[in-house]
Amino acid sequence: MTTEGSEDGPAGPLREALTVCAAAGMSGTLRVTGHPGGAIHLVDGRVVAIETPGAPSPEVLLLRSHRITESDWDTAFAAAAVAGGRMSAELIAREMVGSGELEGVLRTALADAMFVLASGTVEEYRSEPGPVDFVLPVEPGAETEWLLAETSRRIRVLASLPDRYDLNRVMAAPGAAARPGARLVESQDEILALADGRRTPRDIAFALGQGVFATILQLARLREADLLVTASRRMTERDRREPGHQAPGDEPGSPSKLPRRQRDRSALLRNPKTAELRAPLRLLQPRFGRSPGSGETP
Amino acid sequence: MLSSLTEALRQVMAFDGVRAAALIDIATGMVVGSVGEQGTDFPAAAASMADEVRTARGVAGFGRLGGDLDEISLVTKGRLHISKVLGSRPGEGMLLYVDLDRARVNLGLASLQIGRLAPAVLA
Amino acid sequence: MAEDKLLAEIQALRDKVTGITGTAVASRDGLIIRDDTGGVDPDNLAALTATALALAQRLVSEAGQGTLREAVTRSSGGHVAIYAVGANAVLVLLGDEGLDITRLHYESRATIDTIEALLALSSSESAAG
Repeated sequence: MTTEGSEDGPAGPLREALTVCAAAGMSGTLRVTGHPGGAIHLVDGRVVAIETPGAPSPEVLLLRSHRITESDWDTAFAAAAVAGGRMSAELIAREMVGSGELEGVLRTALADAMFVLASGTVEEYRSEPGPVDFVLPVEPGAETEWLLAETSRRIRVLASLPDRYDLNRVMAAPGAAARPGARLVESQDEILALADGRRTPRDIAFALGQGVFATILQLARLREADLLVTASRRMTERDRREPGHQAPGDEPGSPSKLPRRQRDRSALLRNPKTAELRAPLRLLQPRFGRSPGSGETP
Repeated sequence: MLSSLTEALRQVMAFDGVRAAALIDIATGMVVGSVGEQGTDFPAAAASMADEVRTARGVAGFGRLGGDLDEISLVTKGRLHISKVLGSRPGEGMLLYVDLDRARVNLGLASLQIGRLAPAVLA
Repeated sequence: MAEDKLLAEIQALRDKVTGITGTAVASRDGLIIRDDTGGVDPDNLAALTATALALAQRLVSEAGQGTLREAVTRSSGGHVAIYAVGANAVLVLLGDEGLDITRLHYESRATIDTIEALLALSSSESAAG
Protein backbone atom coordinates (compact mmCIF):
# COMPACT_ATOMS: atom_id res chain seq x y z
CA MET A 1 0.00 0.00 0.00
CA THR A 2 1.50 3.30 -1.01
CA THR A 3 1.31 6.13 1.46
CA GLU A 4 -1.20 8.72 0.37
CA GLY A 5 -0.55 12.43 0.60
CA SER A 6 -3.68 12.83 2.69
CA GLU A 7 -2.31 10.47 5.30
CA ASP A 8 0.67 12.50 6.32
CA GLY A 9 -1.35 13.68 9.31
CA PRO A 10 -2.38 11.51 12.23
CA ALA A 11 -2.85 8.38 10.14
CA GLY A 12 0.84 8.09 9.34
CA PRO A 13 2.27 7.59 12.86
CA LEU A 14 -0.82 5.60 13.89
CA ARG A 15 -0.30 3.31 10.93
CA GLU A 16 3.31 2.76 11.93
CA ALA A 17 2.45 2.11 15.57
CA LEU A 18 -0.24 -0.40 14.66
CA THR A 19 2.01 -2.15 12.16
CA VAL A 20 4.72 -2.49 14.82
CA CYS A 21 2.23 -3.95 17.33
CA ALA A 22 0.94 -6.39 14.73
CA ALA A 23 4.42 -7.47 13.64
CA ALA A 24 5.34 -8.14 17.28
CA GLY A 25 2.19 -10.26 17.66
CA MET A 26 1.17 -8.07 20.57
CA SER A 27 -1.78 -8.84 22.81
CA GLY A 28 -2.97 -5.74 24.58
CA THR A 29 -4.09 -2.22 23.90
CA LEU A 30 -2.72 0.58 21.74
CA ARG A 31 -4.04 3.67 23.50
CA VAL A 32 -4.48 6.75 21.33
CA THR A 33 -4.87 10.16 22.98
CA GLY A 34 -6.23 12.98 20.89
CA HIS A 35 -9.55 13.95 19.41
CA PRO A 36 -11.55 11.76 19.48
CA GLY A 37 -8.89 9.31 20.57
CA GLY A 38 -9.55 5.76 21.65
CA ALA A 39 -8.13 2.33 22.29
CA ILE A 40 -7.17 -0.33 19.75
CA HIS A 41 -7.31 -3.81 21.27
CA LEU A 42 -5.15 -6.53 19.79
CA VAL A 43 -4.85 -10.26 20.35
CA ASP A 44 -1.79 -11.98 18.88
CA GLY A 45 -1.17 -9.02 16.60
CA ARG A 46 -4.72 -8.95 15.22
CA VAL A 47 -7.21 -6.20 15.94
CA VAL A 48 -10.21 -7.51 17.89
CA ALA A 49 -11.88 -4.23 18.90
CA ILE A 50 -11.52 -0.46 18.79
CA GLU A 51 -13.14 1.75 21.39
CA THR A 52 -13.59 5.43 20.56
CA PRO A 53 -16.15 8.11 21.45
CA GLY A 54 -16.01 9.06 17.77
CA ALA A 55 -17.70 5.98 16.30
CA PRO A 56 -20.65 3.80 17.35
CA SER A 57 -19.67 0.55 19.07
CA PRO A 58 -21.13 -2.76 17.85
CA GLU A 59 -23.60 -2.54 20.74
CA VAL A 60 -24.86 0.85 19.54
CA LEU A 61 -25.01 -0.38 15.93
CA LEU A 62 -27.05 -3.44 16.86
CA LEU A 63 -29.38 -1.77 19.36
CA ARG A 64 -30.02 1.61 17.76
CA SER A 65 -30.67 0.03 14.37
CA HIS A 66 -33.13 -2.31 16.14
CA ARG A 67 -31.29 -5.31 14.72
CA ILE A 68 -31.32 -6.74 18.23
CA THR A 69 -33.90 -5.68 20.79
CA GLU A 70 -32.78 -4.29 24.10
CA SER A 71 -34.41 -7.09 26.06
CA ASP A 72 -32.74 -9.74 23.88
CA TRP A 73 -29.42 -7.98 24.40
CA ASP A 74 -29.91 -7.88 28.17
CA THR A 75 -30.88 -11.55 28.25
CA ALA A 76 -27.77 -12.56 26.29
CA PHE A 77 -25.56 -10.26 28.34
CA ALA A 78 -26.81 -11.67 31.62
CA ALA A 79 -26.41 -15.24 30.39
CA ALA A 80 -22.87 -14.55 29.19
CA ALA A 81 -22.00 -12.93 32.52
CA VAL A 82 -23.40 -15.80 34.57
CA ALA A 83 -21.78 -18.51 32.47
CA GLY A 84 -18.55 -16.53 32.14
CA GLY A 85 -18.99 -17.07 28.43
CA ARG A 86 -18.83 -14.90 25.38
CA MET A 87 -21.51 -12.44 24.36
CA SER A 88 -21.13 -13.33 20.66
CA ALA A 89 -21.71 -17.02 21.41
CA GLU A 90 -24.85 -16.18 23.39
CA LEU A 91 -26.27 -13.95 20.65
CA ILE A 92 -25.67 -16.62 18.01
CA ALA A 93 -26.84 -19.57 20.13
CA ARG A 94 -30.07 -17.71 20.91
CA GLU A 95 -30.50 -17.04 17.18
CA MET A 96 -30.62 -13.31 17.77
CA VAL A 97 -28.11 -12.80 14.96
CA GLY A 98 -26.34 -15.04 12.45
CA SER A 99 -22.64 -15.71 12.99
CA GLY A 100 -21.70 -14.42 9.53
CA GLU A 101 -23.89 -11.37 9.99
CA LEU A 102 -22.41 -10.63 13.41
CA GLU A 103 -18.91 -10.94 12.03
CA GLY A 104 -19.92 -8.52 9.28
CA VAL A 105 -21.26 -5.99 11.78
CA LEU A 106 -18.16 -6.29 13.98
CA ARG A 107 -15.73 -5.86 11.09
CA THR A 108 -17.75 -2.91 9.79
CA ALA A 109 -17.65 -1.30 13.25
CA LEU A 110 -13.91 -1.95 13.45
CA ALA A 111 -13.19 -0.29 10.11
CA ASP A 112 -15.39 2.67 11.01
CA ALA A 113 -13.66 3.22 14.36
CA MET A 114 -10.22 2.98 12.74
CA PHE A 115 -11.27 5.47 10.06
CA VAL A 116 -12.48 7.89 12.76
CA LEU A 117 -9.26 7.54 14.77
CA ALA A 118 -7.14 8.07 11.68
CA SER A 119 -9.18 11.10 10.59
CA GLY A 120 -8.96 12.78 13.99
CA THR A 121 -6.01 14.26 15.79
CA VAL A 122 -3.45 12.07 17.52
CA GLU A 123 -1.51 13.64 20.38
CA GLU A 124 0.27 10.52 21.50
CA TYR A 125 -0.12 6.79 21.65
CA ARG A 126 1.30 4.07 23.83
CA SER A 127 1.05 0.32 23.79
CA GLU A 128 -0.05 -1.49 26.91
CA PRO A 129 0.46 -5.24 26.62
CA GLY A 130 -1.96 -7.26 28.71
CA PRO A 131 -5.29 -9.04 28.62
CA VAL A 132 -8.07 -7.57 26.48
CA ASP A 133 -11.57 -7.32 27.86
CA PHE A 134 -14.21 -6.23 25.37
CA VAL A 135 -17.83 -7.27 25.21
CA LEU A 136 -17.97 -8.10 21.49
CA PRO A 137 -14.52 -8.75 20.00
CA VAL A 138 -14.07 -9.74 16.36
CA GLU A 139 -13.13 -13.42 16.34
CA PRO A 140 -10.70 -14.12 14.82
CA GLY A 141 -9.23 -10.62 14.93
CA ALA A 142 -8.82 -8.53 11.80
CA GLU A 143 -5.49 -8.33 10.04
CA THR A 144 -3.94 -4.90 10.31
CA GLU A 145 -3.14 -4.81 6.56
CA TRP A 146 -6.82 -5.18 5.72
CA LEU A 147 -7.83 -2.61 8.33
CA LEU A 148 -5.23 -0.06 7.24
CA ALA A 149 -5.97 -0.56 3.54
CA GLU A 150 -9.67 0.02 4.19
CA THR A 151 -8.85 3.11 6.25
CA SER A 152 -6.74 4.50 3.40
CA ARG A 153 -9.55 3.82 0.95
CA ARG A 154 -12.02 5.67 3.14
CA ILE A 155 -9.74 8.66 3.59
CA ARG A 156 -9.27 8.78 -0.21
CA VAL A 157 -13.03 8.63 -0.78
CA LEU A 158 -13.55 11.39 1.78
CA ALA A 159 -10.93 13.56 0.08
CA SER A 160 -12.65 13.05 -3.27
CA LEU A 161 -15.99 14.41 -2.07
CA PRO A 162 -16.88 17.85 -3.43
CA ASP A 163 -17.22 19.34 0.05
CA ARG A 164 -15.02 18.85 3.05
CA TYR A 165 -16.69 16.66 5.63
CA ASP A 166 -15.03 17.15 8.96
CA LEU A 167 -16.26 14.45 11.30
CA ASN A 168 -16.69 16.72 14.28
CA ARG A 169 -17.01 20.25 13.02
CA VAL A 170 -19.20 20.44 9.94
CA MET A 171 -22.87 20.54 10.80
CA ALA A 172 -25.70 19.65 8.49
CA ALA A 173 -28.90 21.63 8.30
CA PRO A 174 -31.95 21.16 6.10
CA GLY A 175 -31.37 22.55 2.62
CA ALA A 176 -33.60 25.20 1.13
CA ALA A 177 -34.19 23.07 -1.94
CA ALA A 178 -35.71 20.15 -0.06
CA ARG A 179 -37.97 18.64 -2.66
CA PRO A 180 -40.83 16.37 -1.83
CA GLY A 181 -40.55 13.02 -3.54
CA ALA A 182 -36.81 13.13 -4.14
CA ARG A 183 -35.51 9.88 -2.76
CA LEU A 184 -31.86 9.00 -2.56
CA VAL A 185 -31.34 6.61 0.31
CA GLU A 186 -33.67 4.49 2.33
CA SER A 187 -33.04 6.33 5.56
CA GLN A 188 -33.25 9.75 3.90
CA ASP A 189 -36.18 11.05 5.94
CA GLU A 190 -34.58 9.97 9.20
CA ILE A 191 -31.24 11.53 8.36
CA LEU A 192 -32.84 14.78 7.19
CA ALA A 193 -34.77 15.01 10.44
CA LEU A 194 -31.55 14.54 12.41
CA ALA A 195 -29.53 17.03 10.36
CA ASP A 196 -30.81 19.98 12.35
CA GLY A 197 -27.69 22.11 12.41
CA ARG A 198 -26.82 20.96 15.91
CA ARG A 199 -25.45 17.52 15.15
CA THR A 200 -22.17 16.49 13.60
CA PRO A 201 -22.04 13.55 11.18
CA ARG A 202 -20.79 11.54 14.16
CA ASP A 203 -23.83 12.54 16.25
CA ILE A 204 -26.17 11.53 13.42
CA ALA A 205 -24.38 8.19 13.06
CA PHE A 206 -24.91 7.47 16.76
CA ALA A 207 -28.57 8.46 16.60
CA LEU A 208 -29.20 6.19 13.61
CA GLY A 209 -27.05 3.29 14.78
CA GLN A 210 -24.92 3.23 11.66
CA GLY A 211 -21.30 3.92 10.82
CA VAL A 212 -19.81 7.42 10.65
CA PHE A 213 -18.32 6.84 7.19
CA ALA A 214 -21.64 5.50 5.86
CA THR A 215 -23.36 8.56 7.34
CA ILE A 216 -20.91 10.96 5.69
CA LEU A 217 -21.51 9.30 2.31
CA GLN A 218 -25.26 9.68 2.80
CA LEU A 219 -24.88 13.31 3.87
CA ALA A 220 -22.69 13.98 0.84
CA ARG A 221 -25.33 12.55 -1.49
CA LEU A 222 -28.07 14.59 0.16
CA ARG A 223 -25.84 17.65 -0.05
CA GLU A 224 -25.26 17.03 -3.74
CA ALA A 225 -29.01 16.87 -4.29
CA ASP A 226 -29.40 20.20 -2.45
CA LEU A 227 -31.39 18.52 0.27
CA LEU A 228 -28.86 19.62 2.87
CA VAL A 229 -26.62 22.54 3.57
CA THR A 230 -23.55 22.42 5.74
CA ALA A 231 -22.92 24.98 8.45
CA SER A 232 -19.57 26.04 9.79
CA ARG A 233 -20.71 26.40 13.38
CA ARG A 234 -23.09 24.58 15.62
CA MET A 235 -26.54 26.12 15.65
CA THR A 236 -28.41 26.38 18.91
CA GLU A 237 -32.08 25.91 19.44
CA ARG A 238 -32.33 29.66 19.77
CA ASP A 239 -31.03 30.11 16.21
CA ARG A 240 -33.73 27.79 15.05
CA ARG A 241 -36.40 29.62 16.97
CA GLU A 242 -36.06 32.70 14.84
CA PRO A 243 -39.13 33.58 12.77
CA GLY A 244 -39.53 31.33 9.79
CA HIS A 245 -37.45 28.58 11.35
CA GLN A 246 -40.10 27.44 13.76
CA ALA A 247 -41.26 23.92 13.10
CA PRO A 248 -44.87 23.86 11.89
CA GLY A 249 -45.86 21.22 14.41
CA ASP A 250 -44.46 23.18 17.34
CA GLU A 251 -47.32 23.56 19.72
CA PRO A 252 -47.30 23.80 23.48
CA GLY A 253 -47.49 20.48 25.22
CA SER A 254 -45.93 18.38 22.47
CA PRO A 255 -42.88 16.56 23.80
CA SER A 256 -40.66 17.50 20.86
CA LYS A 257 -41.44 21.19 21.04
CA LEU A 258 -38.78 23.83 21.27
CA PRO A 259 -38.58 25.62 24.61
CA ARG A 260 -41.29 28.21 24.68
CA ARG A 261 -40.44 30.19 27.76
CA GLN A 262 -36.85 30.94 26.95
CA ARG A 263 -37.29 34.64 26.36
CA ASP A 264 -39.09 35.14 29.65
CA ARG A 265 -36.53 33.14 31.50
CA SER A 266 -33.66 35.05 29.99
CA ALA A 267 -35.37 38.24 30.97
CA LEU A 268 -35.16 37.12 34.57
CA LEU A 269 -31.41 37.37 34.37
CA ARG A 270 -31.51 40.83 32.87
CA ASN A 271 -34.37 42.23 34.91
CA PRO A 272 -33.02 45.23 36.89
CA LYS A 273 -35.48 44.45 39.63
CA THR A 274 -33.98 41.01 40.04
CA ALA A 275 -31.74 41.75 42.98
CA GLU A 276 -30.62 38.20 43.32
CA LEU A 277 -30.99 35.27 40.99
CA ARG A 278 -32.43 32.93 43.54
CA ALA A 279 -35.06 35.13 45.10
CA PRO A 280 -37.51 35.42 42.22
CA LEU A 281 -36.72 31.97 40.95
CA ARG A 282 -37.67 30.42 44.25
CA LEU A 283 -41.13 31.81 43.83
CA LEU A 284 -41.56 29.83 40.64
CA GLN A 285 -42.43 26.29 41.47
CA PRO A 286 -41.10 23.72 39.03
CA ARG A 287 -43.99 21.71 37.74
CA PHE A 288 -44.39 18.55 35.77
CA GLY A 289 -46.84 18.43 32.90
CA ARG A 290 -48.07 21.93 33.60
CA SER A 291 -50.54 23.52 31.26
CA PRO A 292 -49.04 25.87 28.70
CA GLY A 293 -48.53 29.41 29.85
CA SER A 294 -48.60 28.76 33.56
CA GLY A 295 -45.72 29.66 35.81
CA GLU A 296 -44.63 32.48 33.57
CA THR A 297 -44.43 35.26 36.11
CA PRO A 298 -43.46 35.37 39.73
CA MET B 1 -10.12 -20.11 15.25
CA LEU B 2 -11.72 -19.87 11.81
CA SER B 3 -13.80 -16.98 10.63
CA SER B 4 -17.38 -18.13 10.13
CA LEU B 5 -17.70 -15.64 7.32
CA THR B 6 -14.68 -17.07 5.51
CA GLU B 7 -16.07 -20.56 6.00
CA ALA B 8 -19.39 -19.54 4.46
CA LEU B 9 -17.69 -17.85 1.52
CA ARG B 10 -15.67 -21.02 0.92
CA GLN B 11 -18.96 -22.86 0.43
CA VAL B 12 -19.65 -20.51 -2.48
CA MET B 13 -16.19 -21.24 -3.88
CA ALA B 14 -17.19 -24.89 -4.12
CA PHE B 15 -19.37 -24.10 -7.14
CA ASP B 16 -17.94 -24.77 -10.56
CA GLY B 17 -16.36 -21.75 -12.24
CA VAL B 18 -16.21 -19.48 -9.18
CA ARG B 19 -13.02 -17.44 -9.12
CA ALA B 20 -13.71 -15.27 -6.09
CA ALA B 21 -16.48 -14.53 -3.60
CA ALA B 22 -16.85 -11.61 -1.22
CA LEU B 23 -19.22 -10.03 1.22
CA ILE B 24 -19.52 -6.29 0.59
CA ASP B 25 -21.07 -3.67 2.88
CA ILE B 26 -23.36 -1.64 0.61
CA ALA B 27 -23.33 1.54 2.72
CA THR B 28 -19.54 1.89 2.69
CA GLY B 29 -18.44 -0.26 -0.25
CA MET B 30 -16.12 -2.14 2.08
CA VAL B 31 -15.03 -5.72 1.45
CA VAL B 32 -16.09 -7.32 4.75
CA GLY B 33 -14.62 -10.70 3.87
CA SER B 34 -13.38 -12.40 0.72
CA VAL B 35 -11.97 -15.66 -0.66
CA GLY B 36 -10.48 -16.72 -3.99
CA GLU B 37 -8.49 -14.93 -6.67
CA GLN B 38 -8.45 -11.19 -6.12
CA GLY B 39 -6.43 -8.63 -7.97
CA THR B 40 -5.16 -5.43 -6.38
CA ASP B 41 -8.18 -3.59 -7.78
CA PHE B 42 -10.61 -5.86 -5.95
CA PRO B 43 -11.54 -3.33 -3.22
CA ALA B 44 -12.19 -0.68 -5.88
CA ALA B 45 -14.35 -3.12 -7.87
CA ALA B 46 -16.26 -3.99 -4.70
CA ALA B 47 -16.90 -0.33 -3.93
CA SER B 48 -18.23 0.29 -7.43
CA MET B 49 -20.51 -2.76 -7.07
CA ALA B 50 -21.97 -1.15 -3.94
CA ASP B 51 -22.39 2.09 -5.92
CA GLU B 52 -24.29 0.16 -8.63
CA VAL B 53 -26.68 -1.14 -6.01
CA ARG B 54 -27.28 2.32 -4.59
CA THR B 55 -27.79 3.76 -8.07
CA ALA B 56 -30.27 1.03 -8.98
CA ARG B 57 -32.10 1.56 -5.70
CA GLY B 58 -32.16 5.29 -6.27
CA VAL B 59 -33.86 5.09 -9.67
CA ALA B 60 -37.29 6.59 -9.17
CA GLY B 61 -39.97 3.99 -8.87
CA PHE B 62 -37.51 1.13 -9.10
CA GLY B 63 -39.03 -0.65 -6.15
CA ARG B 64 -42.47 -0.37 -7.67
CA LEU B 65 -41.42 -2.22 -10.81
CA GLY B 66 -41.68 -5.53 -9.00
CA GLY B 67 -40.21 -5.35 -5.54
CA ASP B 68 -36.88 -4.54 -3.95
CA LEU B 69 -33.56 -4.98 -5.70
CA ASP B 70 -32.46 -8.61 -5.45
CA GLU B 71 -29.51 -9.08 -7.75
CA ILE B 72 -27.24 -7.30 -10.19
CA SER B 73 -25.45 -9.25 -12.92
CA LEU B 74 -22.56 -7.86 -14.87
CA VAL B 75 -21.43 -9.79 -17.91
CA THR B 76 -18.06 -9.18 -19.55
CA LYS B 77 -16.41 -11.09 -22.41
CA GLY B 78 -14.80 -13.59 -20.12
CA ARG B 79 -16.57 -13.28 -16.79
CA LEU B 80 -19.84 -13.18 -14.93
CA HIS B 81 -20.20 -10.98 -11.88
CA ILE B 82 -23.22 -11.81 -9.80
CA SER B 83 -24.10 -9.60 -6.83
CA LYS B 84 -26.87 -10.80 -4.57
CA VAL B 85 -28.42 -8.30 -2.15
CA LEU B 86 -28.70 -9.58 1.41
CA GLY B 87 -30.94 -7.67 3.76
CA SER B 88 -29.08 -6.82 6.92
CA ARG B 89 -29.13 -4.15 9.55
CA PRO B 90 -27.49 -1.87 10.53
CA GLY B 91 -26.77 0.00 7.32
CA GLU B 92 -28.02 -0.49 3.79
CA GLY B 93 -27.50 -4.23 3.69
CA MET B 94 -24.75 -6.51 2.45
CA LEU B 95 -23.88 -7.81 -0.98
CA LEU B 96 -22.70 -11.31 -1.82
CA TYR B 97 -20.45 -10.73 -4.79
CA VAL B 98 -19.31 -13.69 -6.89
CA ASP B 99 -16.85 -13.57 -9.77
CA LEU B 100 -17.31 -16.49 -12.20
CA ASP B 101 -15.64 -17.83 -15.32
CA ARG B 102 -18.12 -17.29 -18.15
CA ALA B 103 -16.84 -20.20 -20.21
CA ARG B 104 -17.64 -22.64 -17.43
CA VAL B 105 -21.04 -21.51 -16.17
CA ASN B 106 -24.48 -20.50 -17.31
CA LEU B 107 -25.81 -17.20 -15.93
CA GLY B 108 -29.26 -18.50 -15.03
CA LEU B 109 -28.01 -21.57 -13.25
CA ALA B 110 -25.26 -19.72 -11.41
CA SER B 111 -27.71 -17.06 -10.27
CA LEU B 112 -30.07 -19.72 -8.96
CA GLN B 113 -27.35 -21.60 -7.09
CA ILE B 114 -25.86 -18.46 -5.57
CA GLY B 115 -29.33 -17.26 -4.60
CA ARG B 116 -29.94 -20.51 -2.72
CA LEU B 117 -26.68 -20.29 -0.87
CA ALA B 118 -26.68 -16.55 -0.19
CA PRO B 119 -28.69 -16.51 3.07
CA ALA B 120 -26.26 -19.03 4.58
CA VAL B 121 -23.44 -16.50 4.32
CA LEU B 122 -24.99 -14.33 7.02
CA ALA B 123 -26.39 -17.22 9.06
CA MET C 1 -24.72 39.65 27.51
CA ALA C 2 -23.76 37.27 30.26
CA GLU C 3 -26.32 34.74 29.15
CA ASP C 4 -24.85 34.61 25.65
CA LYS C 5 -21.46 34.01 27.19
CA LEU C 6 -23.10 31.29 29.20
CA LEU C 7 -24.39 29.64 26.07
CA ALA C 8 -21.04 30.09 24.34
CA GLU C 9 -19.33 28.41 27.29
CA ILE C 10 -21.67 25.44 27.09
CA GLN C 11 -21.19 25.23 23.33
CA ALA C 12 -17.42 25.27 23.79
CA LEU C 13 -17.68 22.31 26.15
CA ARG C 14 -19.80 20.53 23.54
CA ASP C 15 -17.08 21.01 20.97
CA LYS C 16 -14.35 19.80 23.34
CA VAL C 17 -16.12 16.70 24.60
CA THR C 18 -17.33 14.17 22.05
CA GLY C 19 -20.85 12.85 22.49
CA ILE C 20 -22.70 15.67 24.28
CA THR C 21 -26.18 15.92 22.76
CA GLY C 22 -27.79 18.51 25.01
CA THR C 23 -27.03 20.92 27.82
CA ALA C 24 -28.89 23.04 30.36
CA VAL C 25 -28.11 25.30 33.29
CA ALA C 26 -30.81 25.52 35.92
CA SER C 27 -31.28 27.03 39.33
CA ARG C 28 -31.19 24.79 42.38
CA ASP C 29 -34.90 25.45 42.57
CA GLY C 30 -35.23 23.55 39.33
CA LEU C 31 -35.84 26.40 36.93
CA ILE C 32 -34.15 26.77 33.58
CA ILE C 33 -31.60 29.55 33.22
CA ARG C 34 -30.20 28.58 29.80
CA ASP C 35 -30.76 25.51 27.69
CA ASP C 36 -29.91 23.79 24.45
CA THR C 37 -31.36 20.40 25.13
CA GLY C 38 -31.91 18.99 21.66
CA GLY C 39 -35.59 18.19 21.95
CA VAL C 40 -35.71 17.13 25.60
CA ASP C 41 -38.23 19.17 27.63
CA PRO C 42 -36.01 21.73 29.39
CA ASP C 43 -38.44 22.50 32.20
CA ASN C 44 -38.86 18.90 33.25
CA LEU C 45 -35.15 18.31 32.82
CA ALA C 46 -34.30 21.28 35.06
CA ALA C 47 -36.69 20.22 37.78
CA LEU C 48 -35.47 16.61 37.79
CA THR C 49 -31.83 17.68 37.64
CA ALA C 50 -32.14 19.89 40.71
CA THR C 51 -33.81 17.06 42.60
CA ALA C 52 -31.24 14.50 41.45
CA LEU C 53 -28.36 16.75 42.45
CA ALA C 54 -29.78 17.30 45.93
CA LEU C 55 -30.29 13.57 46.33
CA ALA C 56 -26.80 12.68 45.09
CA GLN C 57 -25.26 15.23 47.45
CA ARG C 58 -27.17 13.78 50.40
CA LEU C 59 -26.13 10.29 49.36
CA VAL C 60 -22.46 11.24 49.20
CA SER C 61 -22.70 13.03 52.51
CA GLU C 62 -24.44 10.07 54.16
CA ALA C 63 -21.72 7.76 52.87
CA GLY C 64 -19.12 10.11 54.32
CA GLN C 65 -17.42 10.57 50.97
CA GLY C 66 -16.84 14.31 50.96
CA THR C 67 -17.96 16.63 48.17
CA LEU C 68 -19.96 15.47 45.16
CA ARG C 69 -17.93 15.95 41.98
CA GLU C 70 -20.50 14.78 39.46
CA ALA C 71 -23.50 12.52 39.26
CA VAL C 72 -23.46 10.40 36.11
CA THR C 73 -26.28 8.14 35.01
CA ARG C 74 -25.58 5.58 32.30
CA SER C 75 -28.47 3.97 30.44
CA SER C 76 -28.97 1.83 27.35
CA GLY C 77 -29.37 4.93 25.24
CA GLY C 78 -26.81 7.32 26.67
CA HIS C 79 -25.64 9.34 29.66
CA VAL C 80 -26.85 12.13 31.93
CA ALA C 81 -24.15 14.02 33.87
CA ILE C 82 -25.05 16.50 36.61
CA TYR C 83 -22.75 19.07 38.23
CA ALA C 84 -23.25 21.59 41.01
CA VAL C 85 -22.44 25.13 39.88
CA GLY C 86 -21.64 27.07 43.03
CA ALA C 87 -24.36 26.98 45.62
CA ASN C 88 -27.19 28.27 43.45
CA ALA C 89 -27.14 26.50 40.11
CA VAL C 90 -26.77 23.16 38.43
CA LEU C 91 -25.39 22.07 35.06
CA VAL C 92 -26.80 19.06 33.26
CA LEU C 93 -25.24 17.42 30.23
CA LEU C 94 -26.97 14.86 28.07
CA GLY C 95 -24.75 12.51 26.11
CA ASP C 96 -25.14 9.58 23.75
CA GLU C 97 -23.62 6.12 24.22
CA GLY C 98 -20.27 7.36 22.97
CA LEU C 99 -19.93 10.25 25.43
CA ASP C 100 -16.25 10.74 26.25
CA ILE C 101 -16.53 10.48 30.03
CA THR C 102 -12.77 10.69 30.55
CA ARG C 103 -12.50 13.98 28.73
CA LEU C 104 -15.65 15.22 30.42
CA HIS C 105 -14.03 14.75 33.86
CA TYR C 106 -11.08 16.74 32.62
CA GLU C 107 -12.90 19.56 30.82
CA SER C 108 -15.99 20.08 32.97
CA ARG C 109 -14.20 21.68 35.96
CA ALA C 110 -13.13 24.84 34.12
CA THR C 111 -16.52 25.17 32.43
CA ILE C 112 -18.32 25.00 35.76
CA ASP C 113 -16.06 27.67 37.27
CA THR C 114 -16.72 29.96 34.29
CA ILE C 115 -20.47 29.38 34.46
CA GLU C 116 -20.42 30.13 38.17
CA ALA C 117 -18.56 33.39 37.55
CA LEU C 118 -20.96 34.37 34.75
CA LEU C 119 -23.98 33.71 36.93
CA ALA C 120 -22.48 35.72 39.81
CA LEU C 121 -21.76 38.57 37.40
CA SER C 122 -25.29 38.39 36.08
CA SER C 123 -26.84 38.66 39.56
CA SER C 124 -24.57 41.53 40.60
CA GLU C 125 -25.33 43.39 37.35
CA SER C 126 -28.99 42.95 38.05
CA ALA C 127 -28.50 44.18 41.60
CA ALA C 128 -26.59 47.24 40.39
CA GLY C 129 -29.29 48.08 37.82
